[in-house]
This record gives sequence, structure tokens and C-alpha cells, in this order.
Amino acid sequence: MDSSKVSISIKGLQKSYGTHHVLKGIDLEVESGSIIGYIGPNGAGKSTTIKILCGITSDFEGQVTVNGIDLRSNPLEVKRQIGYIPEKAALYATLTPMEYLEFVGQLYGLNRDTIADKSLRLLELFDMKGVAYNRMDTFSKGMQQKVLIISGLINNPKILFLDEPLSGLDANSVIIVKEMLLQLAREGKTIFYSSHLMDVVEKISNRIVLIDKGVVVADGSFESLNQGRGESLEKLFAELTGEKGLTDRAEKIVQAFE
Amino acid sequence: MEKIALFILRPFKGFITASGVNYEQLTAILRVKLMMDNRRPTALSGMQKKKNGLFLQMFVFGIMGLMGGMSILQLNDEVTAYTVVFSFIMIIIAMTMVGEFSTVLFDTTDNYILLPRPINSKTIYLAKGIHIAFYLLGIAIPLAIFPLAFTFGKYGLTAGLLFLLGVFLITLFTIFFTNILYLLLMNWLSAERLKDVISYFQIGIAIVMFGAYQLLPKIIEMEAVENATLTINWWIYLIPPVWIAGFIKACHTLTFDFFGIVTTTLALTVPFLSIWFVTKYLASYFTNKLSQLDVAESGEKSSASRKVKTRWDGLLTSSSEEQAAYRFAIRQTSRNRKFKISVYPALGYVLVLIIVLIKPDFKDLAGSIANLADSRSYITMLYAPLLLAFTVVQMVNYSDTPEASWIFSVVPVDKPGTIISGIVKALYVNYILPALLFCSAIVLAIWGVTAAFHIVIALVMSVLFCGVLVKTIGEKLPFSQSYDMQNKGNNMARNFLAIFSIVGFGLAHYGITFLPLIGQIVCFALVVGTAWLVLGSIKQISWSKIKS
Repeated sequence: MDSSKVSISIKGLQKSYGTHHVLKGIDLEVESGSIIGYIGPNGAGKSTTIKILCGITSDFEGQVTVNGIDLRSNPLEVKRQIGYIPEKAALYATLTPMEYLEFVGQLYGLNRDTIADKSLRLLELFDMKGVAYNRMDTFSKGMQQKVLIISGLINNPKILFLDEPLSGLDANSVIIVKEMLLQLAREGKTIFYSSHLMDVVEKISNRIVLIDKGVVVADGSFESLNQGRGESLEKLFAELTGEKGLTDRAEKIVQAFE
Repeated sequence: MEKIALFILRPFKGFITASGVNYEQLTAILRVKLMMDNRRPTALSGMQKKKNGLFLQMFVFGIMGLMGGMSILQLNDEVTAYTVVFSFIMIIIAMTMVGEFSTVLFDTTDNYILLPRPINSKTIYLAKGIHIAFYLLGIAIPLAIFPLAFTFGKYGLTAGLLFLLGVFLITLFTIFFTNILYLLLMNWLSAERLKDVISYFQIGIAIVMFGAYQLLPKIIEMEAVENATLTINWWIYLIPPVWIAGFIKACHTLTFDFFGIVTTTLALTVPFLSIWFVTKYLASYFTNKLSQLDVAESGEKSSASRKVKTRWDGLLTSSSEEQAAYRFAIRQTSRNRKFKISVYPALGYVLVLIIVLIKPDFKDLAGSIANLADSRSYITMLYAPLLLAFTVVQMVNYSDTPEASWIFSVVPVDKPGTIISGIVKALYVNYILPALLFCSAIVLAIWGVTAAFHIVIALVMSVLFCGVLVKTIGEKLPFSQSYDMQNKGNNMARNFLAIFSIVGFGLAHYGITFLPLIGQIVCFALVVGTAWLVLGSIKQISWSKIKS
């Protein structure tokens, strides 16, 4: 890959919690403007990878560069270029969306008026203008998720990390977010997208990276992984993670209930 | 509040920026943190969210300061008086910090919000440090208002100013002291256990405050205390409040003897050295530990997986639904911190209340117990635990996840009364009965077996009381309301009603004690019958009667 086009480069990434090795050596190069579908079974190490890339977990082995900047030696510069939308609705729920977005925007050094304008516009686009000044502890999970999505984009990041971003969103919002991600990629932004929703990953990603037990087990476009067999990503996922008898297992579960 | 804090900070902008901290980010973090503090429920205001929670808290601390400050007026020896005041301030600040600030310190949400943003570690540390300092000043200032006024009045202006400096010094030292306490706890305990320990601290605060409020004036009135003086031993120099007290006296009376010189030196150096030590060595270690909390939590077994004994469930319940509710209530209540924080202090209040109501003479304890045996004060002892019943029955309706109560609506339960009945039985057996049995043991020890019959009457009365409580305030599904809802009812009126009804039950029993034995037995039978009927009617509560 042309080094000027590489936006994320990961070499030999390892991470352990005590004796438990979560990542056992991940190597990956991500091209600018691409949408990476980062998938894997529960506990495969997806969230850990994203937490390392976003600078939440600083204790890791291996080398990570983001837009040519070394994450370990210059984490602040990396953080200026990225946006992160976490899986669980981690926000200060006693604040209102406007207060929260103003806060996050200020951490990126944005002007308060600019943030307010931008926040209101974005909240309106997500059908949330009416609750812009209400405390978020009364919000549904989907509403909180929308605020998180806006907060992840408020600094207009070059690279966006999303960890299960659609959880709790209604069907219309899911369509909006999917289209939004495609549009962002067209503008040259890199999207690092982790999810269990295989149909969404299949539709929006131009490259799929599957990790299992802390190592990459498949890497390529959906078409190349599929090799013309016409199977869905869901089926491929099961195959690649070594799960062949899922239907049998489901049958046994039903029998156990009877 | 946040505006005042940021105003105070503004003159230091140049200094802060020069030390490598991003001032804009710092103020943004502080503004949000202080705003959230003001919206956070505290142990003192119950679990209620009050708009002006912080001001209420300041008022309460002001009153506490008045109590602690009384020693300045009461005690003749200056060093002793100030040692008492500064010990009081130090303990209250430390306990409040451990209890209430933990929710801020252990908020792993920070890890997701602050760590992915471009904020350097100095800015995060300083924001945390200033946040703590402001928070502590918010406690220390109202605590110090009355003692300060008394100092001005009794010892003059210089002493007053020295006292203010003393408050600042003791606050600094308490930050160090609390940091050490946290680090020790974090080394020994897992994240979950630590949160449990912190809950007990919170419970401790509530009980100590209530006890101090009720008992301190009585103790201070004693003559022996009035003329108490500190004996100067070598270990006296290990007590920080003594340094500050010695420093104040030495400086405003200008008596620099050995004690004066040592205490002044210690007072002026140790707090600054300790705060330097905290920022230099402990802050980063502390933040490292914090960022591990989240991870550690997912790796370890949570307290919820600890086995909870559900005793007597088969014996006390008559259907599988009631039994399920019984077991559910025991597990839920024993693992819910908010429930424990609300209920356990009530247990402490009961103890303090008993002491206050029977007014023991601290100088002649044996004599006052002998006097007690001639009275009918056992009624007080046996009915005070009903205060706990009131709290328990009320609190069981609330939950952090009220939405989870949908489960009751989808299972094929004919009458929700069976669920409520199972819950009440569990609460009675687990919380109310132990308290009652404890009090009964004291009653037996003082009054002997002659009081046994009254203990039995009181036990049945307590069952009846719980039944009546459920019929009046508790006809709701358990754990089905948000803690926020607590505000909506008229709590004050309800509390009064509860106290009146407890007094009513107690008075009824008191009346019974004047009846001849046969009359007492008839009344007992009546109470048993009524309790039986009320409990039976709880099981009959239908879906249409469930109040939302």
C-alpha cells in the first residue's frame, strides 16, 4: 500500500490483562477513505483494539501510527485527528445534550458559539432539537446514542472509530447513520467500524477484518472473502470462526426447552 | 457555584498555562464537573435529586460547624478546644470525601469521555485536584463559619485570621490523608469490594452525624469536659489537629515554648509537604489505579454473583409466586447499594434514638439502668425499630432500573398481592425482625422475663404495622419506581405520618400494659387477628389497585 495513503498502521499489537492475552499480535494497514468492518465473536478483542487506537488504553505492546503519527510518543496529536463513538452510552447523563456537546467541543479547543450552532443543527437533523435542553438521564438508550454519535463527530475527525454505534437506534436513524458513514468515507475520512450487525457491515464496508481469539483470521473485501459463493457475511462469519453446527445447536436448545 | 469557582481560578491563568496545563480544557472540565456535583444526590439529602443540593449541603455543614464550634465556647483550654474543632473538621471532611466524592472519583465514564480526547495528563490531574479542592472548600467553609465567629468573639481578630489559615492547612492535610486511605483500600480490595466499603462509609457518615446531633450537646454539658486539658505526651505531636491548635495559640498569644515551636513548624510545613507528595507521586499512581478499575471489574466476579442466603422462604410463603418474590427481594435488597445506603442508616438511627429517648445518665450508668427497670421504657425500645420498617417498606419500591419491572406484568400472576406479600415477608425477616430481636434482647436483659409477653405483643404489632404500611404507602410493585420519583410524593408529610403512627402503635401498647392480664391477653388476640386479616388482604391486592 502507498505509505502516503495509509491512515492507520498497526504492527504486532498485543495486549494482556494479567495472564489473559486479549490481542496476540495484530498487523493491519488501513487506507484513507476506507470503511473497515472490524468484526469477530464476543471477547475476540475488537473493543480492546479500538480502545488502544483511541488512546483509552495506553498500556500495550507493538507499534501503532495514525496518519503517520506514533500513538505511543504523541497520543495527543493522534487524539486531535480521531473521533470515537463507544459501545455503551458513556456520557454525563445529568447534563443536557447542549451542555455535553459544548463540553466535548471545548476539549477540542472549539469556539463555544461554533459548537452551539453545530450542536443545534446536528440535534435537529437527528430529530432531537426538542430535547436539546433536557437532562439526558431521562433519555432512552437510542437518544443517548444519538448524542454520542454527534459528540464523536463534533471535531470533524479524519478517522472515526465506532464500536457498535447503532445500538438502540430506530430504523430511520440507522439508515441516516449508515448513509452518513458512506458520505464521510467519500470525503476521504477513514471509518473503523466494529459491530455484530453483519448485514450493516456487509453493506457499508469496503474491507472486512475478522479477528478471533486475538488474531486476524480473515482480511479482505466481502467479495474476495466470499469467493463468488454468494453467501451472506453472517454465514461466512460462522465458517471463518469455526462454527459449523449452529443449526444443530439451535435445534438442541429448542429441544432442551421442551 | 461553577461561576464562582472559575472566577477564583482566573488570576492563576498565567501560572497554570506556564506549568503545561491547557487552561481552556481545564475550565471546561471543571465547569462540567461542578455542574454535575450540584445535580448529584448526596447522602445527607437522601437519594433525592435536589436542584440546589449543594446549598442544602452547605447549610447542613454550617449547622454541624455550630455543634463542633461549641467547644470553643465551652472549653477553657484553648489548645484542647481547637484540637476538638479541627479534629471535627478533619473527620467530617475526610468522611464526606470518602463517602460522597467516591462517585466522582470512581466514575469510569471519564475513561470513555476524557481519555480519547486530546487532553494531556497534567490537565486531567489538575482538573481532578482543583475539583477536589473546591469540593472540600465547599465543606470546610460552612463548617468553619461558626467556629470562626466564636474565635473572633472569644480570642480576637488575630486568632480569627489564624483560625482561617488553620482551616486551609487542615484541608490540605485531609486531601493527603484521604488519598492515602484510598490507595490503601485500593491495594487491598477489588473494585467491587471497594464500592461496598465506600457504601459502609456513607452509612457511617449518616449515623455519626445523627448521633453527634443528638448526643454531642449532652456530652458537652458535662462539667468534667469543660475543664479538660490535653496532657502533653510525645504522641500528641502525631495528631495533626494538635499542630494547628498549638500553632493558633502560639501565634496569637506569642508564647513560643517548645510545644509552640514544634506545633507551629509542623502546622506550617507538613500540609504543604504532603500536598506536594500527593501531586508528585500519588496522583499518577492513583489515576493509573482508576483506569484499571473498569478492566478489573469486567474480569472479576461482581458482588452480585456472591451467594445470598434466602432463609425460611419455604416455610413462610404459601405459593411459588410468593416464594419467588421473597427470594427476589432478599437478593435485590442485599446487593443494591442505594437500598443499603438508605436503609442501614435507619438501623443506626434506631440505636441512637433509643439512647436519646431513654436518656441514660452518662455519669451513673448502672444507676440509670436500675431506674429504667422500674419504668415502662421497654415500649420505646420495642417500637423504635418500626422506624426501620417504614424506611424499608418505602425504599423497596425504588430501583436504579425501574424499567426492569415489566417482568411482573408479563408473567401470569393472578394477583400482584402475592408478590407484594412475599416481598414484605422477606423485608420483615431480613431487616425488621433482627432489629426487633436485638432490642428484645436488651429489654430481656434489663426487665427480665416479665417483659417477655410484651415482646411477643410488640412482635405481632410490628407485623401489623408492616401490613398497614403496605396498605397505605406500599401498594406498588417492588423496584418499579425510579429514585427520582421519591421527590414527587410529599415526603415530609409522609414521614410525620409514619412517626405519628409509630407513636400511635407504641401508645396503644403502653395502654395495654395498664390492663389486667386477662385484658392484655384479649388485646393480644385482637392484635393477632387484625394482623392476620391485614396480611391476608395484602395477598388480595389486585392489578387494578396497583398504583403507578
